[in-house]
Amino acid sequence: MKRFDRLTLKNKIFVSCLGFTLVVSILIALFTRALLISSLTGELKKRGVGIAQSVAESSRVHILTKNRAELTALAYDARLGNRQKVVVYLLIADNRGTVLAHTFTTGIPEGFGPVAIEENASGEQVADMRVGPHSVFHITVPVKEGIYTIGSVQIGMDRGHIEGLIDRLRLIFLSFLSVVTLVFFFLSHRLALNITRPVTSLIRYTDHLSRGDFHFLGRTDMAPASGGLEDREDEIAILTNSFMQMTSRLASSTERLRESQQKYRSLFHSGPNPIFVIHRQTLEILDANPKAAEVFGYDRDALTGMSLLSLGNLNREAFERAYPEGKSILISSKVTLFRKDGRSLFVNIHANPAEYRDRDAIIAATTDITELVEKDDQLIQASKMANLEKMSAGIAHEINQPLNAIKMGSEYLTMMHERRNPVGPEELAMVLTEISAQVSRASEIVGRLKSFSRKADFAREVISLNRCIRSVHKIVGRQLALQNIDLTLELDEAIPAILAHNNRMEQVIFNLVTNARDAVNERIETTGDIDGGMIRITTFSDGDVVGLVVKDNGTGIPEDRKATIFDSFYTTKEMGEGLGLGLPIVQGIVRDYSGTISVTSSLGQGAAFKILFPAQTNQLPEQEH
Amino acid sequence: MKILVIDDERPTLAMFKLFLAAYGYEVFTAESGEQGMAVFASKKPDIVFTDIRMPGMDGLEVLRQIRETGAFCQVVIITGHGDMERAMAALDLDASDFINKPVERAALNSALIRAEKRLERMASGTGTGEDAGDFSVTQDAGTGQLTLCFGGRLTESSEAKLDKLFTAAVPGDKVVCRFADDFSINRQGISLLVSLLRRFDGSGSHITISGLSYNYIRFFEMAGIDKLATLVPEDVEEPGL
Amino acid sequence: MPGSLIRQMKHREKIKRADNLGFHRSSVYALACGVVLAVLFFFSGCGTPPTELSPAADRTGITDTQIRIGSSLALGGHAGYLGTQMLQGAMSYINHINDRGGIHGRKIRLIVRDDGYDPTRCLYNTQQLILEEKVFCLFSYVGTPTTVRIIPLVNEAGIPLLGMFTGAHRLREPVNPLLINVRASYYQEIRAAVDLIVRQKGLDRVAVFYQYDEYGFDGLRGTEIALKHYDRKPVAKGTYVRGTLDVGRGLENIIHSDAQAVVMIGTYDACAEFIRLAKERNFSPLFYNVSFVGASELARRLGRIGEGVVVSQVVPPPVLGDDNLPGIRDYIRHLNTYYPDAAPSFVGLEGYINARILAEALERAGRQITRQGFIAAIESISDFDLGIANSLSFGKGDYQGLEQVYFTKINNSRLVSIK
Repeated sequence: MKRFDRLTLKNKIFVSCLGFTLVVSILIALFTRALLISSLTGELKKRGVGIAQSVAESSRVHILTKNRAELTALAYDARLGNRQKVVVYLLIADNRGTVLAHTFTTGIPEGFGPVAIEENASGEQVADMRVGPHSVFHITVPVKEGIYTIGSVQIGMDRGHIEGLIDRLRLIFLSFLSVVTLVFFFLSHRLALNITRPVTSLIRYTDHLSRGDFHFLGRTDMAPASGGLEDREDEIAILTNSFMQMTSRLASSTERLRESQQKYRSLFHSGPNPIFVIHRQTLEILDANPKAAEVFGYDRDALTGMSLLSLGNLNREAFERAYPEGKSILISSKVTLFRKDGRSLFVNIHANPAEYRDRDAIIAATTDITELVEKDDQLIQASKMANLEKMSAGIAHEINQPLNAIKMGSEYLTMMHERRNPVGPEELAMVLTEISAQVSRASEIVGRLKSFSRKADFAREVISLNRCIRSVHKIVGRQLALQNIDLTLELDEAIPAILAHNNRMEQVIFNLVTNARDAVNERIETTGDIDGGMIRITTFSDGDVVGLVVKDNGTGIPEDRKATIFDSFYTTKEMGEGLGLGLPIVQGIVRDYSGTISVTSSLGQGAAFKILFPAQTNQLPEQEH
Repeated sequence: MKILVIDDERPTLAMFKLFLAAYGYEVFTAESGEQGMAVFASKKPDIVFTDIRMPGMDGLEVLRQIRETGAFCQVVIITGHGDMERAMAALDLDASDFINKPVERAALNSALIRAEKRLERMASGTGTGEDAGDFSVTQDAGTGQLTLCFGGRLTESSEAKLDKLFTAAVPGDKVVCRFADDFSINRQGISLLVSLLRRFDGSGSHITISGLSYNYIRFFEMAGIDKLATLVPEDVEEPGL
Repeated sequence: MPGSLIRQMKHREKIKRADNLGFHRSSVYALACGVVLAVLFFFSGCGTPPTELSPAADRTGITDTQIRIGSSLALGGHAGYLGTQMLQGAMSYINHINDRGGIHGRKIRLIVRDDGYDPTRCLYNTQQLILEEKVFCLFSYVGTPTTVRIIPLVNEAGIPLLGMFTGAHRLREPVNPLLINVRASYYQEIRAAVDLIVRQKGLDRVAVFYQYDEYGFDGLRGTEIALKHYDRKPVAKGTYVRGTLDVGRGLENIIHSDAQAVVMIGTYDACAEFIRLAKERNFSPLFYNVSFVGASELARRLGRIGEGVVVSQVVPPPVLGDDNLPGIRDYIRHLNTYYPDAAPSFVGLEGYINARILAEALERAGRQITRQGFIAAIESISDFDLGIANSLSFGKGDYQGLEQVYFTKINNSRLVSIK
């Protein structure tokens, strides 16, 4: 059966048809043969009986008269003409079984003897015998004189005759069968072809399709197969038609896919950003676009196989997260990666899950934000500079005082010396002491300034918020007092330290205080309330959170503005008075230190800025200047 | 002569006291504007030195109040770095002079002498009013040197006068500007002067300015006039009784 | 990856196979033929092939010393003369041969049975001769119905029959190597006779009187065929039953037809009666008889009435005439030797000639004689001179030796030849 299964459809149909026809024909032939044999045998027997009976009739008188010559003549007559073929022999015996006449011209065959006939036998007997080379029906018919049996006529009917007939019939049948078989052979061949040729064409179509060749529909060698289809309306035609439709749709969608693939490929290759395709689990780089090779200074081949993590300060955990469907997410921002030559760059990494050659992969696109970060730094620096500008007036004023004292002291001494006036010892002591003290004062102011303007170290330090606040207080306290603004500190000494930078924090606090001062001044100007200006700085801690609040009773922030105050360039100041960089920078710095900043305010009621930082449980280092 | 020094910086006050005492003045000190006004009311000083930046009542307020009293008191404003704006305001309020911190001896001397001269003039009744400005133009025919003389107070009201005067003048190679002892100027006057000097400077003349007090030179330098003309300082005498 | 590649390859192969629309035309045809042949063989395998006896090597009847020959002929009955005469003539020669030592050391033994011109008896006799007597060949049969009756036996047994006193057409057509005729056929006799009657004698109206059996029918047929040549038909037909003398009705028919000649196919007794009655009624056409009638006996019976009756013969007259034929001389001599009381006759001469041919054939067949060899020997006899001025020839497909027809006329109760 397996062999059958392995045949092609055409051959299956063909073999089935042919086999069926053959089987049916053979069955018919066998059946007919059996039928024929039985009927012919019956006929033969009947004929034999008939002949024997007629001979019996004629031979009656001659048996009685024992006229062997007549009996012989009768016997031979039974074999006249075409009976010769059917009647093998005929013998006439008397009731004792003695052969009176027979037709064995060449001699009675060996072992052959007349069948004994019973005294009271009435009907004929038929027996199968073999006489010489012939297989015969030996029919015995009694010759009766009245009721007495006086002899018998025994006739041998040649079964071979039947077989001869049957052979002839068989031959006829065979010829017929052969013709039918041949006809059916070709018919079924044709039928099979008719059915399977379109199928074969379809197979050829699908084969072409599977190889991605969509443009065969117009080819002429396909035409014959589909050509005959216009006349057909059967299932094959329907199948082929719908198949062709499917093909053309498939072709067009494949075309679109190819175009989008090309688009993707060109995007990948000419994308202005480095794009990596990395393995989902191992984070091994599977592919990188030319820009990535260019930016990072490695060959594309060198890149594939490297782990993405080896390029820089990447966190594996950042990649192990749930990716929302269809979106790309920001994995990390401001990640430092290193080029082959060791130079660093800052990137944002966006990631998107995808499939790459049957593997789960992630497409990681990196955006170079080195310039941005540097600009950020520059902005911070600029803001610092702006602040510095603001501070410089105060600083200048601050420094002027000790300078003045020193100058006047020394001028006095010079003048007295030129006039040759003696300087009293008390006056001398006072002047000298004062000079020295003022120099120290000036130096301290310079020191503070220096520390304020220093660029922050990269690594965060453990610092005390209170200390920063106090430093700022030293810087701006006098200024504020000059402007009749009260700066009060309510600092909780028990707060934990935080991870930050001193000068940056000072910048933050300074910024807030400055804004508060400006707000208060604005209110004073509008309301004329000279003595009411108040800025209060509070620090507190709550569990693992450290917080500070800068509260003022200035003009306050209107409701609709609260959302935008942290936007860059938001400023209420007039042109030229301030760049509005303060709050965004403050927010940036706070965020850098994993903190949050928020504001509560209402118009006319002042504002309170609250900053929260995660507490750092490490020990505070020794106080240093 | 009585001098009152008002400054919220104690060391400064101490130095001032030493200096002025050494010059022979009778020195009074005050640490705040209010205290200073109190002392002024009681001691009636002739010259007042006041710091311009102070918490509470600042120097400008002091100057205003003193002017309101109408006393013939010379008020010298002590300015710090970057106090240009306040200095202008003080000039508007007819401050006598101003000196810059850190205070130099020459500056101090110049301020004192000017103050005394003005007091004298006022006492002798030849003090000019606020509005009076005295200007003249002479041209030396031989050298072509143009000499401009400024006296009195140069304010916005002097504009017409100045204009008339100087359109007649034909600038030569050299222009000399002489300022009198009683010369004073306000904010608008400065801008007028600057535009005038620009006119001359534009025609390629070399301008010299003389007769300004030490502090006024300082002041003109701050206004940027030293770029348009050469400022000649005068010898400063030592004040003293 | 490899797994899917292999699948793809296998798939491609399958496609190629399916794609092969032509399916190797030649193998298709080969398959077709093979199928047909297989079916044929399958079916033809059943059935038994018939077997045959080959007579070629049959040497029945040949012993070391004897050649047994069988004969069944009319020795008694109304045709007894014919058989007797035949036998005498044949035995004259056979005795002669045997006395000379036989043929190849073997003597001819002729086993004779009388069948009385009865086909039934002839059949039975022949069966006995073949079965019981186991003769080598059959010889010297007399009569058409009798000889014709035993044709099946001859064919079945494959036994040759040489020398029959009958010119029956059935013994000559279809050609049968086992039936070896010596004499010319009735058709030839009658043809010659009709030529004589119609052409020579110019007689138009020809009637036929014949024995109502195979012999007579044959003669009638021969007459019709001969007359057709002249665009004539028999004007009347008359018959009688073999063994009877009931010729009356037949005669009536023929008299009534006013025939000018009567072709008579019968035996001497019936024909004599016919002629006598005809003469009594003054009906005197030309009477013609075939040789079988037994001319001598006819002449004897008719006497004067038989004047002018014509009888055709297949052998020359058994008298020594001017030509002095050696064959005749030998016949007369041998007849006198063994049957001194017998008179030579046409019938006897025929018997003699039959024996001569038998001896010749046996001689030619050689010592290792078989039936097939015997037949081959007959076939080899060509232009054999019997000494009767009538050349004898057999051949493959020609199993009639003599062709000539003679005519005799009854004259003075005696037969005289006519040309």
